[in-house]
Amino acid sequence: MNGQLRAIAELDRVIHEPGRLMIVALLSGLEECDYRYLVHETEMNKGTLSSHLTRLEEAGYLQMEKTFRGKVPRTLLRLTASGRQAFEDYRAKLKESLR
Amino acid sequence: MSDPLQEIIRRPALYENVDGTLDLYFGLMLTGTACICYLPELMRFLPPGIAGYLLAMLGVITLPMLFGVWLRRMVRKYITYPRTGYIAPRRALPGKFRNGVLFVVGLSVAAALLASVAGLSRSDTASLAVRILLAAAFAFPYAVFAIRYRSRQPWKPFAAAAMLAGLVLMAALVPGGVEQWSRPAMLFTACGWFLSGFVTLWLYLRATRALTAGAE
Repeated sequence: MNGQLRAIAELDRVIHEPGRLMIVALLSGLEECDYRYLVHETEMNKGTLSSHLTRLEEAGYLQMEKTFRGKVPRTLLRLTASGRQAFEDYRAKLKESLR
Repeated sequence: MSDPLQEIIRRPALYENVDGTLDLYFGLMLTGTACICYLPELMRFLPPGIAGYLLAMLGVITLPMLFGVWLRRMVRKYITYPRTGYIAPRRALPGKFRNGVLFVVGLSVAAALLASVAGLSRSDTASLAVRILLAAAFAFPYAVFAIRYRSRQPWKPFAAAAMLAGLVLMAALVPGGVEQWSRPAMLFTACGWFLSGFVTLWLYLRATRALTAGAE
């Protein structure tokens, strides 16, 4: 197997799914954001977005914190250190496979 | 091979001006700067000496800057975050330092060019070419800004072209030397930034809905 094929085979499947890739790519440029921002940016419905966020949280890539802004509930989201590292590795492998 | 994800990673940075508050902030700063040009006239109404000078500086630079920061914070807190969400940009983003250095170098070069043109204008006050060069220098920051935000606000490059056209028209029509022309030109540029900010905010309000309790 050549290097490019190996790079494709080694892509992180948790991140590689298009919806989750959008989420992780957006979060990589941020310290944190709230749920509403991701709904606005990704234009996903809330159910789909929640299932992707749960999957990322289960993988240890995402940290969710439930807070309140006045009386309105707010969910803060941030990538964990391992989430950032996984995304950097994913980018490197993607670049290698597209070379 | 360029990074195919780069555009998505940069999107949160463009969100900083989704509501037009940066335009309004720069409009305020520019109004303050334009007021410096009217400083001799303003000083007649202030106490003489250093006290008057300090008051003028406080009025034309510090107050617009502080008001701009406050306005931006309020709009984000009560309009932007409840409508389209809150973000906290990453401080140590890779390439941010390099971009900062490039920005400072670019700004220094632009200031040096402007100073040269201003120096030239003293020796040839009637020259239309010098005025047009200054008009381009006034419109340049907005043009850079418009190009940066064109993916979110595609009308901004046209606004930049309109600003340049207005400044060139003023250069051709306003009588007197470059100094007489540059004062209203700077105010015109500030108005352009304000208008751009208000239009951005209006379009944003039209395209988004306010948050209702329990909506998240």
